[in-house]
Amino acid sequence: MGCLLATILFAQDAGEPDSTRVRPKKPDSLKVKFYPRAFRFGTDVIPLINSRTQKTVSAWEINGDVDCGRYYFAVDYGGSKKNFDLSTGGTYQNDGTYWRAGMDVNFLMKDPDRNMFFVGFRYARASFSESATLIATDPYFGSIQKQVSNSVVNAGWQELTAGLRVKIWKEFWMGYTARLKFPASVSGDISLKTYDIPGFGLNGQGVTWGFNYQVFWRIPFTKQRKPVSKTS
Amino acid sequence: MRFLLPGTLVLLLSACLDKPDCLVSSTNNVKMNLQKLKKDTLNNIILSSISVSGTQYLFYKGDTVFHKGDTIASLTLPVNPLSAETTFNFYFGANIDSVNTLTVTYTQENLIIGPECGAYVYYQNLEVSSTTFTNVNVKNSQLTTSATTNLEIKL
Repeated sequence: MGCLLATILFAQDAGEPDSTRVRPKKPDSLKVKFYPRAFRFGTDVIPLINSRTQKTVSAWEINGDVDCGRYYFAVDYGGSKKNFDLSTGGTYQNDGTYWRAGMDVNFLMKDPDRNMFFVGFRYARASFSESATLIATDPYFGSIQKQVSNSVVNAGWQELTAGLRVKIWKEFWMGYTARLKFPASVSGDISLKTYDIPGFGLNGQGVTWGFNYQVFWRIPFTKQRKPVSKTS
Repeated sequence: MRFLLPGTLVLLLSACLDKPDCLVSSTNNVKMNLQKLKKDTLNNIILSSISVSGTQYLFYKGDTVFHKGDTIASLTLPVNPLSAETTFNFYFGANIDSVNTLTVTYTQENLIIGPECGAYVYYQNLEVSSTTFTNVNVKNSQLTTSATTNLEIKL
């Protein structure tokens, strides 16, 4: 009888859950799920302004990123054309395109408008041609004029990025990106040591900084719910 | 948002770092040291002249290269910027008693410093192609304004 009672009690004890030993579940609101939420495309304003204000440069850049929660996959594509006179006589021309690809990490996850402060990295490559006319006067050999050109030059480099993206109105965004650019590796500059790399800047200057100021339009893939404010 | 102002200031200041300095050290002059093999310090060595291929100009015409007591003489001669090699003919003695020849090769690197600084040619990889001197050593294969000696010639 005692055995039967103990068995019944044991069975009852095994069947009922112990409420004091339930592990607390992490709320879904704290988990950032990784899936594409929106696409944002835009352009860098600074090359457009430079192209308007300086006769020696014509440049453009388009930017895009995909919002995957905390992480953003970013791609930039641009082109530039430069043509200026040299103080020693002669001219320099440069014409090419470049692209950058990488990822940003958003550190403002609690912002309801998805404004972001980010840190990221980029891998970049440029392909371009350049030429120069060099003029000099030697006291013993007379006037010297050389036409030198590199028809196909390729350059690659890496960048660390940081910046802000702020929602201005509806799906219109503005922001800036600061770039820490590591020295570029260049191939194909046989006749003339590469002076300027599209998308990078001056060659041979070591680690340098760059800055972009961008405007964007965001296209959400899903309708976003506005956060509901709690009223007491 | 609190990162906006300091971040912008850093970026504005960093824009000053992008412009190169106009420090130009390019030259097409080769600096040579002539050394007497025999320590004969009693006689002068007179150069009638030195000719350089590519130009009709004569260098060190009538100069006394080695005075009594000297064992080393320094010369500065230009290489031909329109060619990858230059030949120097050294005419010794008041009546051109002897001639020695030295031919050097080099590469040219075309470099743009900047729009305000201009473009220059840097001569590098200086090598002795042929010579009738006893011994010629390349001390510095780059031709720069700061180089002390490029070639050491033993007479």
